Amino acid sequence: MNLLRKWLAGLFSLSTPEDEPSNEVHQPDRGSALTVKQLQKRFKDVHDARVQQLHHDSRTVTLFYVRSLIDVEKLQVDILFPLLYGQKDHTDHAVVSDQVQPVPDLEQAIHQSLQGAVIVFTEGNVFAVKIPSTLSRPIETSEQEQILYGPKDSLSEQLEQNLTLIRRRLPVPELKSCMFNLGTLSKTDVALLYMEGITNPELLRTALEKTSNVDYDAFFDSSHIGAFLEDHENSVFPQFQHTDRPDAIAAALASGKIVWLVANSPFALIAPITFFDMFQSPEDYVQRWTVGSFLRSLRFFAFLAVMILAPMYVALTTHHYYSIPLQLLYLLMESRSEIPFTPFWEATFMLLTLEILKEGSLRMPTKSGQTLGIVGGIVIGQAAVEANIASNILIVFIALTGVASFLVPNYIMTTSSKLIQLLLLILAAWLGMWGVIWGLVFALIHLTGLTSLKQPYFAPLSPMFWRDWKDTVIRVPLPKMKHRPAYLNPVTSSRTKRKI
Amino acid sequence: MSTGTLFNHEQPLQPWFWAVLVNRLQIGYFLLILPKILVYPYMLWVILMVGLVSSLNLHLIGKCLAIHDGFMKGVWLRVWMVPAIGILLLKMTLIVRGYAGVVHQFLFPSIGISAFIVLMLVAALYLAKHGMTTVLHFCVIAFLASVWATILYGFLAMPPEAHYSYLYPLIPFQWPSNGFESLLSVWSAFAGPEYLIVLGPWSGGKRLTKYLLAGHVFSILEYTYLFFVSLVFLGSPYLKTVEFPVFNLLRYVQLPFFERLEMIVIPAYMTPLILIISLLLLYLYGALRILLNRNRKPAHTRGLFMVSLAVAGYLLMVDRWLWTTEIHRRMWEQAQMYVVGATFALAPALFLGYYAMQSRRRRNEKTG
Amino acid sequence: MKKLGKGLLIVSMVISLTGCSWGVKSNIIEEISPTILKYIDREPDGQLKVSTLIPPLRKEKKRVITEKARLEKEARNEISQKYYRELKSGQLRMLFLSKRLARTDILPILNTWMLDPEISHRLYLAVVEGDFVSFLHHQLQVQELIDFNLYQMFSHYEQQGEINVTNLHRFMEAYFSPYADSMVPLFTLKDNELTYKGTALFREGKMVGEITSLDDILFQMLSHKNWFQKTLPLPEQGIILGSLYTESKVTAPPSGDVKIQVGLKGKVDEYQGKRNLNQSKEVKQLTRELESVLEQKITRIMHQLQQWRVDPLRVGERTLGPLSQPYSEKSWKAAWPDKRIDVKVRLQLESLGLLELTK
Repeated sequence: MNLLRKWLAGLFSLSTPEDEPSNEVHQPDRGSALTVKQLQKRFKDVHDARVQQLHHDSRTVTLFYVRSLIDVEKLQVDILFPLLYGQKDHTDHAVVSDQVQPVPDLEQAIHQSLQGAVIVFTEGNVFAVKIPSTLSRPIETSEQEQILYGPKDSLSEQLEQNLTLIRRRLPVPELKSCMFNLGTLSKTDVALLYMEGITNPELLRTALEKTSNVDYDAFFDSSHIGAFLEDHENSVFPQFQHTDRPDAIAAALASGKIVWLVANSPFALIAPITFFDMFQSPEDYVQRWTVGSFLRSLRFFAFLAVMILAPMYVALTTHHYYSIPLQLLYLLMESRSEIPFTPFWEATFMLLTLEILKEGSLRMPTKSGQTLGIVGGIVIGQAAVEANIASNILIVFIALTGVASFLVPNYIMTTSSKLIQLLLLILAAWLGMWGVIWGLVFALIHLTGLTSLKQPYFAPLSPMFWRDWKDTVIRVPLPKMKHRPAYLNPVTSSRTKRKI
Repeated sequence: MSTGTLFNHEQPLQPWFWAVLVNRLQIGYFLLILPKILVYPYMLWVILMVGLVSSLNLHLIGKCLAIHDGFMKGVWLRVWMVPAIGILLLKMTLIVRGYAGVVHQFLFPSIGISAFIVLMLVAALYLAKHGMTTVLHFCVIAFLASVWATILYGFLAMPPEAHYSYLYPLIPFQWPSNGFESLLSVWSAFAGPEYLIVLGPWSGGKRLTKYLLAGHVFSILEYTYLFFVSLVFLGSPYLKTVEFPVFNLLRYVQLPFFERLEMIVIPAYMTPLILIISLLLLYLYGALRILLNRNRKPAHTRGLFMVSLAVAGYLLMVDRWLWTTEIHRRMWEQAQMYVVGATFALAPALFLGYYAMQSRRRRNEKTG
Repeated sequence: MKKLGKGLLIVSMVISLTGCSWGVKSNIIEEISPTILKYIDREPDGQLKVSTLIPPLRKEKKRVITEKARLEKEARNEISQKYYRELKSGQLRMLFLSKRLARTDILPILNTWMLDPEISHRLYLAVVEGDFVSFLHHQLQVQELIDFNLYQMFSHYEQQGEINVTNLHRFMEAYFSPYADSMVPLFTLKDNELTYKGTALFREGKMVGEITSLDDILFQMLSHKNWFQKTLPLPEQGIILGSLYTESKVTAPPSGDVKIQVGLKGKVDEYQGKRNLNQSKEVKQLTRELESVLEQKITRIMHQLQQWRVDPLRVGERTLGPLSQPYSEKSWKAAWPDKRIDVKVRLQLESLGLLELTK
């Protein structure tokens, strides 16, 4: 019987309880005592797990650490040196560090050592000294949300450093942070930040509840965690704002939003957000308010253009030839007459080409990316027309779409608009403008029903918050924006010292 | 009242939404045929007069909205649901089949009407699936997506295309032959808000009459404006002969980069209709639950889906057998005019009366 | 899996219920051939002769295609079958009617156009005298885009004036109105040149008269409340007036005469008369003389209109008041021909345009 089972297990790679290694990792081994031996047993075959014994007078101090996770220089200066040459009777106090913690059991010891701590075994006493390796890249400029004026620093993969950048901007004790450790394998540190006295407690409760309910093994980016926090997993619209700009994060916190900082990810998550937040850029507030408002409304227009320009071309050339002004129809018929595809295939083909080029130039190293852009421009523009694959009016539309898609500061939003555009393209080929608008109505219904952290996504339009319109499609001068967004329902709404 | 997510009413609706709702519920199918029925310039007064009278009715509706304790009990209520379902289906028929007919006539003569019926129901079901609160929230979108079209009519209201002499004389010199019909059609054009009477739980206990009236006034302005434009652009004798004048006018508007704007306005007009249809779907589902005595169980999306499927079947059958010619269309319009007019006049009063009766009985039960 | 099965069942049910009417006949622009010009004539035997240019809007050799049929739409279909691309009427911009056809009833034809949801009501109408088909044949050799150029001419003059441009909507609106009558521009063909001749006037859908040359200029002045006329030649008086701003006011009180007051303000463009315009007395005399000439001309036009029993200037509308309707729809038609007409012209010459020639 047993043999058969083993054979079957081999066949279907079923794992029997005896030979599953991961099981040991998952199940806390409460029974085993906290000894160096036990630790060594658990870290068997981990080559950089080190055990170091220091003989000091009559006593022996044993250190356990994973060398790749700790700052070796600190180990020497802060731990080894004082232990060997420092005060002899109080070993615990000899260590120079602010992060000394007693370790009660084996699991804690394992956890701590993996967080970059050195486990110090003295006689009858075990404690952990945290000296994690602060290996990180320097603070650089954000590549995703570039602006001309305004602060240039951005987050990096180092959680502590990121916290520093944010706390420097909001140096008040009301900026609270809760730490979570998510992921049974990745043990990712997640900091949930909020402003006490501003953030709505109800909102905070939802956020805390959602975060603590996350159950998965490994997280390698903040978006992975975001996927577990969002309300609607099938929606094409992002329900969290990803940003690596500390000024944007601080602004979000100050208006009553909640921010998740995830270790080893330079992107913070901000929620709740609205559809209209996706069109805001920190630079709007640098520009004169009239110019800022103009640029912002231009972005909405561009977003709409990205979605409907190509479908409209298909709808008009496939169904509604009578809606085209005569002069334009003349040009269109001339340029379409040699093309072997229907308008739908023509547009689909060109749009996909554009997307391929765009993806390609994004993934390529900067230098060759530029070359690709030029080659792509020539391919799309000149060659396609000359080879009669596309009409030059469509090329104008597609090029406009391509450029317009970069006007929306949020790249994730741009990509979702591309998907909507392709769906509208199909509807346009089938039912013309009626189909396009039917599709748009569907999208609007979807947006109305969407929530981000249980807050309406289409606020302040539906539900309507009149006051929030000061900073939506247009933005009024900053001194006039005296209130925090009403859809967040903040505890204190006024931004000024005077209570209103 | 125990409800599932469909009829969730934790969040009360903001006051201004009621104004928009009243407005968009009124702008239904009747907007399309109203100018053709009214024809004469002095009917402008009829719009204003009937608008004024019906605002009294809106006062009643405002009172109904203030009621939000669940008194929905009793056998009588279940009996009431039978005519209610009939009325709901009638309204649904006119809106869906009527609009689909317009699309078929103006945009796609080669596509069968049934395709549009199904597509509209799909969109409405998708909206209704999100629950009552979202449906009510959608009214702002429905408003914004359709109200911009009225600006386009401004091109036609200016000379040389408009002849203001068509506005004369402003008083009737003989009683028009279709006087009663005109009165009735204007009255039923203002119908729609009576569907709000049962939405008390979403009112949040606020006094809403003011907002209902604001929406109503906007509808009056809209009707007057559109009638005015069709009148000065076409003139009474010509207007009599034009089908769906509101859309036919748009065929004349020309923008430098786009001509024949009915291509966009007819689809845009779909948004308020989808709002109404999804509201009706939810009502139908709710009415069926009461009729079958299931309203204590949580409401399921699946139930709503089955209801929509049944409605789709019904509408497709109507399209196939009961509404095939223009004569049929006029018959449906007439029937709708009478039934809707009657429900608009009676529903709020009946509702309040029934409530008063119920609460008296409850009081008697408590004391006795 | 269960869900998928259910979904498929529903989809198949829906499709079977709705029949196979979901497919759409598309109008992909390079496959169709939208006509923008059409000419209709009536043969002596009562049949309609419909001609059009194909291919429109395309750099191919163009030709005129003609078809005879009893019904207009029938001819349209037959033309479409003669050509390898499907002819579509959605972009139809101009409809030329022969004078012969216009003299008989054109309403049944226009009604067909009205009912077609594809056809825009901005369709320009024109009446032509002469052989339009041979004009097209001839013109194609010199001017490939004749149809397009004609359209540009119409849309130019629709904004600029000078030619009395009308379209399907305006025609029908005036036709239905009890206090107005339709008018259509009239063109004539001489030696294969298409010339604007004047305005054709219609009563109950039939052409009853025409107003030409100088009369047409005055007629257009009268039909607009405010108007700018580039030139007004009065050769008999040896003068050409230019840059005229005109203001015409028509009043028709319930009882009494129809009063027409025309104010003209302009300058002298050319003068070859005998008077010395440097003397204010002579200028006054000239002005008075011109005023009376214009008055006579306008009175003559109005009498002509009354004779034809048409009211294209919408005089009938002036009888209406907010609270009064002195003439019912039928009685105006009867009363109009017998109305007395009183014309007053006031001319102001802003600039005489002359240097002192008598020096």
